[in-house]
Amino acid sequence: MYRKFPILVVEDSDEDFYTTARVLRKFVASPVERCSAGTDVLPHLARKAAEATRVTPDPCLILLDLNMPGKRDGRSVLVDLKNDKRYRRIPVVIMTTSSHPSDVHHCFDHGAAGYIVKPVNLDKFVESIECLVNYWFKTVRLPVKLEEDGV
Amino acid sequence: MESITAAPITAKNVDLSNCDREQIQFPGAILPHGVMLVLREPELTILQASRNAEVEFGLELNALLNHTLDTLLDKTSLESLRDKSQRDPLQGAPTRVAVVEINAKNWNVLAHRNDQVLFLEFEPASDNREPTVADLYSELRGAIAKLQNARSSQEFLDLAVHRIRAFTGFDRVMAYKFLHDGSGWVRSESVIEGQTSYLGQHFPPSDVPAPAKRIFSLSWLRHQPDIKYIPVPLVPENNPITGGPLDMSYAVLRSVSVMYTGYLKNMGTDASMVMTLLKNGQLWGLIACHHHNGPKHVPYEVRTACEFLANMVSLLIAEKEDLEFADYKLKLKATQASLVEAMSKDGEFAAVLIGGNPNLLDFVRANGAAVVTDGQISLSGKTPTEEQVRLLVEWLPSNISEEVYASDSLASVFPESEMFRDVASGILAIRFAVTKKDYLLWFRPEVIQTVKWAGDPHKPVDYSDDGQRLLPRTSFALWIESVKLKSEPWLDIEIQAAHELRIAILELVLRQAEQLGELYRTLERSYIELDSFAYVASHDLKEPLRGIHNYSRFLLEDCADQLRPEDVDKLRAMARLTQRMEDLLDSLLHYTRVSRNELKSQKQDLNEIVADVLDFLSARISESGATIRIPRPLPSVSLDASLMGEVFSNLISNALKYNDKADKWVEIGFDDSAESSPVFYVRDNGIGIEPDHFDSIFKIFRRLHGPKEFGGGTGAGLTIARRIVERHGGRMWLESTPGDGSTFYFSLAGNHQINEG
Repeated sequence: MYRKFPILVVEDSDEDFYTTARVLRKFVASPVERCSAGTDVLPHLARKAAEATRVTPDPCLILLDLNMPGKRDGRSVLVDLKNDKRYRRIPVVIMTTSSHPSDVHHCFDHGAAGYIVKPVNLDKFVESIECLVNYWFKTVRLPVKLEEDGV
Repeated sequence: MESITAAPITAKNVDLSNCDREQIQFPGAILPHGVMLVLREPELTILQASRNAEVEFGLELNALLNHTLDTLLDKTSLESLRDKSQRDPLQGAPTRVAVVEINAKNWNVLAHRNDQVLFLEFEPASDNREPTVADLYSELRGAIAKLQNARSSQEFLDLAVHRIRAFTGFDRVMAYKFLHDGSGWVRSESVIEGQTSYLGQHFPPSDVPAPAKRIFSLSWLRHQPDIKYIPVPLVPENNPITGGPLDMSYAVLRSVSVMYTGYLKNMGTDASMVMTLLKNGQLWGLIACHHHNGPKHVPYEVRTACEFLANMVSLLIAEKEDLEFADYKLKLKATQASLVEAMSKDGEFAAVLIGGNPNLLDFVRANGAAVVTDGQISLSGKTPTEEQVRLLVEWLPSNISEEVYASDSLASVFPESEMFRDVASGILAIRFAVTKKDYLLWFRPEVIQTVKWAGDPHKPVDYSDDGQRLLPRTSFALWIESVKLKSEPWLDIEIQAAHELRIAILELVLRQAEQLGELYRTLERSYIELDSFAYVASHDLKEPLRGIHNYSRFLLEDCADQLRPEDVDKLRAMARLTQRMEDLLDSLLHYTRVSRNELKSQKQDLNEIVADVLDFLSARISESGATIRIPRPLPSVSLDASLMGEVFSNLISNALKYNDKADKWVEIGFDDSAESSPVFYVRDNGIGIEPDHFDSIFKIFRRLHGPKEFGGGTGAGLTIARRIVERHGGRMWLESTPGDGSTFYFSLAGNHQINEG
């Protein structure tokens, strides 16, 4: 149903991105886009909107890492997205190593749609991604414009 | 007796039971050797006159009363008197304003103002045999020079009494010092041969009652030329201006208390003169002159010289007394400085004060000393036992409010102290905090003293023949008392030094508290830094770890068929080890959080907490086949429920894990037989622990068994459990017999404090 809508993964670690993308592909056909720095997120979305012919639509789900180097880490990227009326509807699920309560609170306070603590164990991670896909792509009605919606 | 107290006590109704309240300033009569006129100003009308004016001046009282002074004095004398009285306020001690001739006799006229009237007192003037002013001046100058050079207070007072006797001609001159208990002590005496000496003897406090002490402070000198005198009444009796009795506080002719003359008569005294000695404005003592050989009138000039000398003695006595202790004072100051310096270097005050060099026993002279801080008692020298000192510091704060307390007869205020009289009949105590019982104490042993009393001090009175009136005692025979339960007295400079030491120590404590506060803030900062370090470290360490783990797994997934079986095993081990490292990082992070996070304490039913834990562990319990025993319901305690659940969870799962018996059991209980807070325990019949390992099992990541034995684990569980118990103000320990089982105990002592917080 959502196969043409990309999933945006905001992740600075190449290995983590590789793992996430590899596991996602097991369960979902959607394209996976990547931003490797927090500062890239808004420019990336803006660039897509500016393309004359929209090659791909806006992502239907954003997976956001919290701890990233540079001026904007995941916490501020989340705030930026939720403060921007063009993007605030896109569900943002946090994927991070941090289990610190202050991070969990911050993210839900600022409109995160979910919070996943990345385990080291690959089997557990695969379970988490499977769960995530089942929920967002098979259970939930995402706020994207489908062809069946008509004009 | 009670009925008497309602009326003012005057010369009419005084006896020894009430002479403390006798209004001796209102005698209504004068000494017979002079004449008193009381005048209204400015017209100088005579309002009152002593009855003897008739005889002495040869004029009817009616010719004097309500007439102006010109009926008595010639114009020149009158002018001179008017002139002086206008220029001089004439307050306080009377001054001579004129020498006049009345009725063929020369009179010194002494004037002073008081009670809204002008007093004129007429005393017979000196004849030519009396010393001249010039004689007195050179005499005084010599005396003062010698007094100034005296090297001790004893030498000083000896000189003073000797000089005063030499130029007054009294039979006996004594310097008499008031002691703290109000008794008097003859420190110095010059006495004519053949008279009993009172030197070194003590006079009970009742000998100088309070009203007399008040008069002493008002006037420098009082003179009774004839103790056996008959008082001459004033006519009329009351001051016509005030309507009340005339206030003769400053009058030289004031008739004295019959108690006083009675007392002096009993001492065999015929005439007396008493001078006040003040030290730093306080009544220090008296110089008392007695004549035993008939009446003796000391003329005005000589009295003035004596008064001047007494003034000099007053001014110099403080200096002379201090001189004696100058060396001791220096030593006290030096020792105080060394003590404070040593304490500022070594925070353990008690150790410095007791064991240092110098220590408390090098400070004020004492045979024993004690330091009491936070309930800890350190003793040095000859002291009461620790238990007895504890009794003393319990008694002190509720009975003594002073910060520095000195007593040379502790048993008189604290009777229980009699049991340690041989080491502490006297104490000097410094108290530090109002809320805490922190003290420095010095002890002095009992010294049985011999006090020579001039007469039995316990019978300072006699009864009149009818038994109705208490009279001054008649016996001044030497009465030797052996004083027990007393130590050597504490000197003023010792008490002063104790005050100074207290302030110095308080300043030190304050400074250290500031440093401690700084240290605490640094510690607080480093705790926060440690927390964020552990957090960041675990995050940053996990990321590469995850990479290694995932890539080893992907290799297995993607190329398992191209790898040899041993390569596959190595990749699997790699994945397993990264997993273990994550567990270790998580434990470390958890430990720092348990150490740091605020406790959320509230009253909790421990039964519920344990039930939750058992529910959580139910799979493992049924798997192990263990029996869980809870002999009696657990109490409710104030604690952080989730943290305490973790303690039980750790202890119970360990008990399940380290058990190789067929019939396993775990018992959860508590012991509340002691007065302090209950002790909880988790007991098992498991494999037990060697005593050698009692300490190491609490060290983080320390495991006694291989990773595959007894289900593995990171080895942080007990470290975290103990940390949680410590956070609750308690402690955790164990008893164990290898092979038979272990019991882990923990208390939550200090729990109530957490509750309040």
